[in-house]
Amino acid sequence: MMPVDAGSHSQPQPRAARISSVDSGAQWSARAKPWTALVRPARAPAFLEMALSVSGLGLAAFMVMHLGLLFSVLLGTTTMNTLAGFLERYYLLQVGVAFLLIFFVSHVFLSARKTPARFGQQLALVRHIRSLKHLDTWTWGFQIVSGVALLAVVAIHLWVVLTDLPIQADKSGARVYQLYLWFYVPFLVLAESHLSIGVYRVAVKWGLLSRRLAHPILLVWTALVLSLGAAILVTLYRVGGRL
Amino acid sequence: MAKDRKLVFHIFRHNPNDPDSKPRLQDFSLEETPRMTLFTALTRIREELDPSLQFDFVCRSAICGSCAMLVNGRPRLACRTRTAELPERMTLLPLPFFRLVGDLSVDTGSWFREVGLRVESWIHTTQPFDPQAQEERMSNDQAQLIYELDRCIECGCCVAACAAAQMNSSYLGPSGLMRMARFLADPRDQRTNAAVFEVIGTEDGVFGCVGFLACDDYCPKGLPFAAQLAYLRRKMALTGLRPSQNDRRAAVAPFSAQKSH
Ligand code: HEM
Ligand code: SF4
Ligand code: SF4
Ligand code: FES
Repeated sequence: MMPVDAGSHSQPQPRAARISSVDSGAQWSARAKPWTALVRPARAPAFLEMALSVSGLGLAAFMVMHLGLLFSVLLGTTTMNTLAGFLERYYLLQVGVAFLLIFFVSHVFLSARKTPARFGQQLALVRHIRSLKHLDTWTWGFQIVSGVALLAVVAIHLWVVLTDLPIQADKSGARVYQLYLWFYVPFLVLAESHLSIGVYRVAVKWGLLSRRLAHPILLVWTALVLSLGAAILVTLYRVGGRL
Repeated sequence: MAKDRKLVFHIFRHNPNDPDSKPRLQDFSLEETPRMTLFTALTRIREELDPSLQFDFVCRSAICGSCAMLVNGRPRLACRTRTAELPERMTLLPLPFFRLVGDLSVDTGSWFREVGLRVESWIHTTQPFDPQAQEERMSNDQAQLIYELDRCIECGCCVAACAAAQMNSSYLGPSGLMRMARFLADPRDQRTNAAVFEVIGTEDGVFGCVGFLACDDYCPKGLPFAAQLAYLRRKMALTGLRPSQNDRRAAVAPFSAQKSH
């Protein structure tokens, strides 16, 4: 109902005629159709908001499991091979991948609602972030960039691993040793930072944790995951080098 | 404060009503004086250097909300900002988002009025008014919470700090959502959750908030945005799932629980 040009604010209209202007390309509001206001309140935004958080947390849970499985390589290549074989034999791997794909695809669509779609909005956001120099605003901008980068990186990773089943420590080690170290290092940093910031944001925006409490938890968690990830990569690199 | 600082102000100049006026930054310099605020500095610039400089002040004591501007990129009340807190060279820009009146002066009033009408910022009740009757009592906690949420001076700092508002000019803004929270906390307002959802349960309302709490960090009056936005988000999400639940008053968290952030 407010004009795109913030210059001339219109007078409010009666409730049934309220139309939210769709000046953000990423937005969809059932209230853009005036007649729906006469039928019932549009409930979709409430559902989408929760679904975004659930999809992000689901992906985070997947990443924790994934890290746990890779952790087995620190105990020896046979441990990892046994575990991977077990998952495949009982179709747990397939279930996991299906789960990942569903959550991943929904997360991409749900987070697109929040991503500035028009050039004017992107410019406004970049200018705003640079002018304000506010940490949490900056990390949100980073969340958008890292998310889009992850879209590509995760797709490559899934393709490489899933077209070369079964999962075996030797094969993974050879990949890391020969070529993929320079793929996996940025991947680890990107995925981990996107995940930590994302979980932090879920906690703060739903009021599960105060920011004062969330910051130290976030730092400890990030340090833990990054060192674990680094240890796994070093081990795989060594495994590959020994072949 | 280092003595004898010479301050340089890069000040935004533009008159949108003059077709020949081009937006530009103009430099002014002044000797710093003890306990100088941006209000004193700007007044001296206008009196001594350029009488055409436009900016707004009324109360000079962080009450009226008219003097907000971007000081080195961040929204602040000029009357409450001491030059001693700032580097020698500083940039003053008008608040973004609002209509520019000229130079550092913006029209926050029209926007706040419109938002007040959008959230129907008044008590909705079917109770007939009896001027003879005693006022209904409310608990101390309730009264204190309402007071806490009602302290907004409509300066616009939170809106200028909010990235969601910069990207969507129909967004209700942090202060608009805070307005709604104030009436949700008021036991005299009989609006149901579903009626409140009508107003803020959209992507121009609480679901348009991305939740990084710049509003909480830049509100000069320290309104409790972190707690209230999370509360509104939870409340509206639940209402979206079960629109028939109407018992909003029973669910208002006590003052002590909402204040901490
Ligand atoms: C690799 C797996 C990923 C994980 C573990 C993950 C996790 C998360 C989490 C937990 C959140 C917070 C959700 C919320 O604020 O409610 C989030 C937000 C976000 N994600 Fe992801 N994500 C992943 C991949 C992606 C991809 C591929 C994209 C984009 C194409 C993306 C884009 C975003 C955006 C833009 C947000 C911000 C949404 C907001 O602020 O409301 N993410 N992510
Ligand atoms: S928390 Fe919400 S309202 Fe506050 S600045 Fe961020 S987007 Fe705006
Ligand atoms: S909530 Fe705070 S920052 Fe926002 S307009 Fe009111 S006083 Fe200013
Ligand atoms: S002049 Fe009134 S708030 Fe600054």
